[in-house]
Amino acid sequence: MDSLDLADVGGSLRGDGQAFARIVGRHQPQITARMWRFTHDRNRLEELVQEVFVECYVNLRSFKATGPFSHWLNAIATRVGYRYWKRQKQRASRTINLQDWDLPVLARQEQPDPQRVGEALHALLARLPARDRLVLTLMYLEELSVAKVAEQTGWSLTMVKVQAHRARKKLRALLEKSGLADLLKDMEQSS
Amino acid sequence: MNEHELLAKLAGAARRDLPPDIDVCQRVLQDIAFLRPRRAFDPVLGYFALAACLAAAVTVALAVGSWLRMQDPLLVLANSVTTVI
Repeated sequence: MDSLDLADVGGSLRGDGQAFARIVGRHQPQITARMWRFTHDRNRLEELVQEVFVECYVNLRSFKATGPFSHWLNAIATRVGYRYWKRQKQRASRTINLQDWDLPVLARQEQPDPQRVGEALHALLARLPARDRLVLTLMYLEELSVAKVAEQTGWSLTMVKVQAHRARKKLRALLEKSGLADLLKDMEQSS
Repeated sequence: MNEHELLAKLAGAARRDLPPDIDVCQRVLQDIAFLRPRRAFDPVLGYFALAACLAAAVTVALAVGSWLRMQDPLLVLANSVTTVI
């Protein structure tokens, strides 16, 4: 795939629109999956995926081919998603409405419905500031290592570790504030 | 279970939550039709620009220093005395 990407990057820089169309076609599923972590709204999802590829095209000359093209593209996607979160006004309420998505029920189920859990987790993380949300999303949902998160965000390794620690603390405070501390205790006892 | 384990458990299930099938290819091609890739930042050009800025700053500092020396009241008095003499 790397050689195909390299050939199509060269073609795109020479003005071949079809070469860039092939890049979009090849990487669209992966970028769509990444942007799904940033929004669960279909229209916004399309806009964000589109924004990622336009930004990729505009910055194509800065791709140095020192690593895989997909890593470079994912870093752009992360940047676009983070910008989107920062643009959004943080919800006034920092508490979780349990009745909306039954977090305790989902957390106790052996095999919960992925879509419902996805929405619940999205809503839960949306209560955190953008930086905390980003680091937890990349580490838990995308399963990236600290080094990979640092590469994608442009932060240092120490910064990523500190940010993740702070984000988890804020999440615990949020769960406690929302009356979900009992959930953690119950699960601790049952495990 | 702490918040790390809760997150890990929920995230494990949420990873199977797949996005809708979308295709933005045509829209992207329309967007980039009138765009051109930006020139990449050239570090050599950057070093030259930095050196030029530093040289300009030194020149301005020297010029201001000379001008201030010329405005020195003692120097002006000495010049006047020399002229009278």
